Parts: sequence; structure tokens; C-alpha cells
Amino acid sequence: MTGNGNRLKINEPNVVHENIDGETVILNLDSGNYYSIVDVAADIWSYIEKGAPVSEILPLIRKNYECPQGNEENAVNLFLNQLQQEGLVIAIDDKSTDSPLPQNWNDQIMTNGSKTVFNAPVLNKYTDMQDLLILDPIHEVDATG
Amino acid sequence: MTPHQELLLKAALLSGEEALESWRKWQDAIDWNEFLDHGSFRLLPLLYTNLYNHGVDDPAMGKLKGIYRQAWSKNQTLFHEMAKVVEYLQHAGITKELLYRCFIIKITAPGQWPI
Repeated sequence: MTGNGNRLKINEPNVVHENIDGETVILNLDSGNYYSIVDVAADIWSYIEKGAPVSEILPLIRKNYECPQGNEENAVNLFLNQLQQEGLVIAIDDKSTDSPLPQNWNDQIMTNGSKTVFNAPVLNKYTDMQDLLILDPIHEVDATG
Repeated sequence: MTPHQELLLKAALLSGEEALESWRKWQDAIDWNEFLDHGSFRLLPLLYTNLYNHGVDDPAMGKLKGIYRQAWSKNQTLFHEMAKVVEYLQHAGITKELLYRCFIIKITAPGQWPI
């Protein structure tokens, strides 16, 4: 799937992130690029943050979302590859001595009470800080608010 | 401090009905889509956090969220750049005052503009 490791790790401290009302905003301090993710994408990000192995991400998605189209594996793999290509996460091996990932990741992941339909995760990328004022995948906002 | 700024400060910092009432009065009193003084604008990320924590559902929340998001990103970028400066100054033995000021920024709300 992602190669070179069985876990992904957020590329901190060069990558910082914050959840704002269901939306995860990610900032790559090296490149200066900004990213916004919601729904499935934000869930995957939280799984990575909590230290879930790569092999467990797809089962978690299938557990939490209705996946009637059968495209979830490709979509999740594509998204994980995008995260790596953008330098937001790095692949590590469990045997890595400098891995601070928690080993009790499973305890930290809540399952959704009711499943929603799976939509392919999208990594929205922005290169202009001004865009951060008006982008809003949850509330509809235009340039004038 | 103007009466409008005082209302905004209360809306951004207080809890419960006093904060919500201040928010309503402030919105009624000024058209912040047209113009907002710099001092008041700096409070908007904090206002967003407080209103969000109070469960406020208002069309203005989308715009406030955008302002919060931008402030957060700008602060993160500044912290990142500042870390290089602090490291340089540490090597030169100049740390105490600057580190104190960075600490003051850090302990304020994450979306707030730096002092």
C-alpha cells in the first residue's frame, strides 16, 4: 500500500494540524502549503495520528462507513499516497527505535454509532493563505462572508 | 477601549448568557462586514472559539471560522520561523526576554494573533 513501513506518522514538527469543527486543517511549514480535509479523509488522518497500522486503516473505514461501491480500497490507498507525496506523513516501521507512536491505538479510536455512506477522501490543497479565509467545506461562505 | 470593543471582548472571553448577549449586541451595533478596527479584528479568532464552545449556530460562524483558520496558520508559520531565531539567539546567549514574549504568545488562544 504505502511501502517502506507498516505505519504512517505525521511529519511533525514540520507539519502541524488542528481540528476545527469537524474539519482538519494541515499546514506544511516546509512548503508553505495548506490542506483541508473532512469526513473520511479527516477520519483517516486521525487514525494515523493515533498510530493505527496502515493495514488497519481500510478495515476501520469499512467498519465506520457504508461502502456499497467497492471503491474504498483504491480511494484510501490513493489518499494515503497523496499524504506521503505532499510530505504530510512519513512511513515508518514498528521496529523503528525513534517511533513515538502509541501502541494502544485501538483504544483511542471510536467507532461511529451509525454508518454514513463512504465518499472518496479528498485532500484539498491551498497555496495562498488568503484562501484560508474563505474556504469552508462545512459552512457555505463566499468572499464576503 | 470603545463600548463596541468592550462588547466584543465580553463576547470573546465570558461564559454563558453574558457572552451570548454581548455577541448579539455587538452584531446589532456594528456592520463588521464593512469595516472593523484592527484591535477588534484580532479578537475574532478568540470570539469564534468562545461562540463555538457555546454551541452558537449563526451564519457568521462560517466567516469567523475562516478568520480563525487563517490566524492559526499564520501563528504556526510565525512560531516556525521564530524557532530558528530563538535557536540563533540561544547560541549568542540572548534568550530570556525573547523566550518570555514567545511564551506569552503561546499561552494565548491558538488562533489569536500574536502580541
